[in-house]
Amino acid sequence: MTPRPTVTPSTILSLTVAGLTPVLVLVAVYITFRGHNAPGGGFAGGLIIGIVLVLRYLTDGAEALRRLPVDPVVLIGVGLGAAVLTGIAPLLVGGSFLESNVWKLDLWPVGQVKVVSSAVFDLGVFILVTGVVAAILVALAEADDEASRGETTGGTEGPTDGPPTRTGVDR
Amino acid sequence: MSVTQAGLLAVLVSVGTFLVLHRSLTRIILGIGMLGNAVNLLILTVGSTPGEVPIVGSSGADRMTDPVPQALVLTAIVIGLAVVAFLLSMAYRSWTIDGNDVVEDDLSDRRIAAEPDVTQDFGDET
Amino acid sequence: MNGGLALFVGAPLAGTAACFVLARFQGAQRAVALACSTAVTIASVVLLVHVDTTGPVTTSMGGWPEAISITFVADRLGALMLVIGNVMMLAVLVYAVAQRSSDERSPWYAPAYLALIAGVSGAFLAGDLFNLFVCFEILLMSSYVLLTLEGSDDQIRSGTTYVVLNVVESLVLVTAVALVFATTGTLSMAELPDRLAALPDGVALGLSLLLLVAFGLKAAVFPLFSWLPDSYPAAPSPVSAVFAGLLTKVGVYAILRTQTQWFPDTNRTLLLVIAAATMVVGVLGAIAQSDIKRILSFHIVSQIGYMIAGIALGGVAAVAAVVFFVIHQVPAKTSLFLVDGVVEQEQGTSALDRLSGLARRSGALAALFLLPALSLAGIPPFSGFVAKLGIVTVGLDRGEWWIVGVALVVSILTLVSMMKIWTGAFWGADDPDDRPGLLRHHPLMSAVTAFVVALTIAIAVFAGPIYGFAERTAGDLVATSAPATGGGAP
Repeated sequence: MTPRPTVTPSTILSLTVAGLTPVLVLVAVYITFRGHNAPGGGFAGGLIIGIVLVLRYLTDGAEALRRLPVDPVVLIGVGLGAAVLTGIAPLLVGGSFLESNVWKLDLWPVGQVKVVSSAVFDLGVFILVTGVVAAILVALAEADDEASRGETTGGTEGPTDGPPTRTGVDR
Repeated sequence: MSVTQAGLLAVLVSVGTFLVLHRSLTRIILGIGMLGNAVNLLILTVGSTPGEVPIVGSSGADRMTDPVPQALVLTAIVIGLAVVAFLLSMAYRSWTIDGNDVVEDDLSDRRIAAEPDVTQDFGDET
Repeated sequence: MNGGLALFVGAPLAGTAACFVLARFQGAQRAVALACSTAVTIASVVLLVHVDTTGPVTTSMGGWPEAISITFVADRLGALMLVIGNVMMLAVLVYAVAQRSSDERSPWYAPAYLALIAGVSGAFLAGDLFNLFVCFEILLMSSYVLLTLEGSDDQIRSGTTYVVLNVVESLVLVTAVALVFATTGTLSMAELPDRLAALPDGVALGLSLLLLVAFGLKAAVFPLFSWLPDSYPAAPSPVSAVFAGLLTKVGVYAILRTQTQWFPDTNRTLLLVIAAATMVVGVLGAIAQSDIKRILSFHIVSQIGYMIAGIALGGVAAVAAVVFFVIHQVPAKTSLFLVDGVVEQEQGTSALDRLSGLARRSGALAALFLLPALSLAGIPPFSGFVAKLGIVTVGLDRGEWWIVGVALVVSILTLVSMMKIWTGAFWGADDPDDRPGLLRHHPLMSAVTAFVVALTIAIAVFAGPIYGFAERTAGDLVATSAPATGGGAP
């Protein structure tokens, strides 16, 4: 592995990302729920969260990922499960696969609220995409970790078997 | 179909094909991205006549464009994203293994092609 | 059966989700995978019986009317392929769990395998062309993961070819979908035959060729097969067994549908030439190789040629022969790869020059190899003979002498290359050196292999009723094609 310079992220980037994170998360959630009747949806929302994660990875390094409260793989499972179960659930009450149901609830302070079962599907996609991006980042960070550990200890216990032959590939 | 769309299609397909024919996986990925966009554009170009946004309530049904091609493109985009992500991870893996991302030949094929006489494999058994 | 068909895709996907949540618990993952696969297999058998007695089943998704919704349709062919596919995938899953190879221990194996089941099931049930494409993509994505799960140098090298070619194939397929939609205004498989028949000849020919290229690459027919013998051997044996048995047949299934139902009487000569070239090139490639897995991989290509030949001949009799050929081919091919898996587990290699005298060590294993091998070569009492006889008979009836000649010569060459494996690995003196002893493999592995071999023999024994079913299936397919079918019953 070509020795990688230890990158210190620029202060401007760090501060911007720190400030943007809550805004982006809010935008992501908004786009996800807006998606029922307008352009948007779980996929776009999840990708925005993914961008947040990538930005945090750029500024804080692998440390940002270690702070994740859940295993990304579990997130993938929960998201996919929610989406598929939204599809299967109507079958149990005699509907057809992926059929959507609308409930109109009267919540006293807010007024009438429309709750749609397909929103759960979107939410599942949202969680799924977030999980996938996080899982990819974790895998990349692990590969980097192993590679740099292999360098410092002189071992070859990295993801590679045997010493890799570098042919001047720039990164 | 407008001339602009047709021209853009031509450019995307030719550039994509050119890139896919390279040995470097990174270029192939870029080429596949190009071709994917070209195909999506093709669906929109040939699949529907221009019209207003096909969202219920935003315009009359007779003035809307056909929503089916848009649904197809949306699905194709998501699939394309997954494929490109997988290919990128393969390119990265290939780079960690041997420091490049060149798509190599089938080794066993080369070996057998170089063999002078394949019938000797049957040996003295027969 | 309201919405029931969607469960063939939904249930394995739910299993995939469960496996992701249980990523840390290997045992639970295996249990979920086995339970899901078993349930889908049993359900598919029930579906087959139901469809055969009462006719096709249709499910529309989301409660929309059939014309505008995503549909799943199970007719005889779809239900039959569903049963074959799921029985094989269940058998291979049990085999893989017993083997505990390094890739099976990965937390990604079970989810990827379940997604493969969902994709294959969906592809056989898809009721419109775009749905077929999406299911193909599910199937392909999971096959990419399974093929490169270990991430070794070899897997990445051959996996790259596989992935790139299949991605290009997907792009061709989407292009075909776009053009079919543009010219006919529908993608529904039920409506397409009539709409396509109304098109000008040139346009229909273009569409049929585009679809043929897309599905032909998946099925590994002659000019588009080179990715197969390179990539399949790189995968661990259970994975290559299910790929070899099934994935190319998904392509054949799609070609069968498009050529007999949508474009009857087009491309007959072209398909015959492709079929002959596929048979010859495949078998010659097999003879040249010196590794069991690679020989078997080239055989896949060669056998695809027979099915394409049957599709090219057309008409009820030929299509029935093709359907029977697929029924015979899937378990026969899978069992050979499973035997190879046992050999590899025992000897650590599948290279012929490093193997010898396996028959002396284990007669049972040799028999498990010999039976499907002879069947594949088309030796009389076995199912392969019945399958090839069907295609050859139709060829003779139509006066296509040359394709019959090619088919027979290729049969003999297939036998020659099988004998090469036999003399190289099973016959001869026992290797005296200290190779690891026999029966290191889990007994379930050979039990599963024996089960699949028994299945191929059962197909030969019950050839009569199965052939009857194949003829009913072919009758459905040819009857629902456009009324202008000239190449009807011979």
